[in-house]
Amino acid sequence: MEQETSHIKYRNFIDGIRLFLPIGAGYLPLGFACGIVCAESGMSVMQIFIMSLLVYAGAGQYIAGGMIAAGASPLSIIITTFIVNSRHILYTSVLYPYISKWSFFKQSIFAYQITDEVFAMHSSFMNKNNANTVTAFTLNIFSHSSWIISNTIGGISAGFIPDSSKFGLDFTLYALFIALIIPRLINFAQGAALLTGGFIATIFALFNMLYIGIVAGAVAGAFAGYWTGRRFHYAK
Amino acid sequence: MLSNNPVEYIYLIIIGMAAVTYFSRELPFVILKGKKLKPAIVEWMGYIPIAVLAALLIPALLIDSESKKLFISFDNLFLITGILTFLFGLFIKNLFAVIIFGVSLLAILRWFI
Repeated sequence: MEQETSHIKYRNFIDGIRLFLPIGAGYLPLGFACGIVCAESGMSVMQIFIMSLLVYAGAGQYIAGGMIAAGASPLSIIITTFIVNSRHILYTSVLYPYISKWSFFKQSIFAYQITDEVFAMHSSFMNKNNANTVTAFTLNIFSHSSWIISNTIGGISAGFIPDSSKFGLDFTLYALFIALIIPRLINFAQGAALLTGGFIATIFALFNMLYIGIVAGAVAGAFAGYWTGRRFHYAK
Repeated sequence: MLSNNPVEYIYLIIIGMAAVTYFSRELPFVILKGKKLKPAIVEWMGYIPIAVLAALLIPALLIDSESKKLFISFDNLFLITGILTFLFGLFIKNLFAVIIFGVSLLAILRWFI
């Protein structure tokens, strides 16, 4: 019995690692670039490390680096971060039904390490398997660690390494998004959500509101999916 | 390590950013604590993941990151790579294969173009 539980835990841990690997592959180049941007704005390596540890939000940190370099006021940076990162409200809301039985304390720790990519992985995994804490926290902790490490290395190497050719690595996370979209495209309703979400987000981005556009696209896409699903009577 | 900015300024920003970011992540758990969501809401939320992924992906493919304008052209290597990676993914259902295909394809296109 004892052995059986530890075997299950081991399998869950491996699941977490498997989910982490593509995210880690994307976070290494992204975090590295983010560390360089922040270092160039005048942040020290220690500050970059602490920011990746405490904030842990790719786009938010990039933008903060740029705004610090431009000498923006702390309040304006913090408000911008809030707008850019407000989309996380959607993520933990969507994951809530899967982990509603967890203690509030566990949920609160879990919430701390949710990003775009980690959310997409959790929602795919929890949709097919029972949510378990070992897989969930393995994915969270490894992803966060890879983000901290890559940012710190980027911060250290800024100034030493010339802007090296990026190869195709800047495409890693987009390839991951594509790979996560395809298995979800099982009916017209999901297709409607995809097209609407992409269309609305693109319109917003053209008006320089990329991050509000992600929220607007997600909400509009969900409505489009919901209505299409109702029309085709997907739900019972 | 020396910093060009006053130390307090940066740490104030970091703490503020951490607070507002965690607020967004934690808020649903505070509001929904102990509640059961209506089936219609759960059904609606079932479309959020694909819509979010599209909202993250599609503008990045269609819009030029420098000029912030629509860039629908064979010269847009990100777009071409995205479309071909999508087609590849329809046939090869392996996540890692899709990522490796996309990244290497873009590297090759950049090499030749």
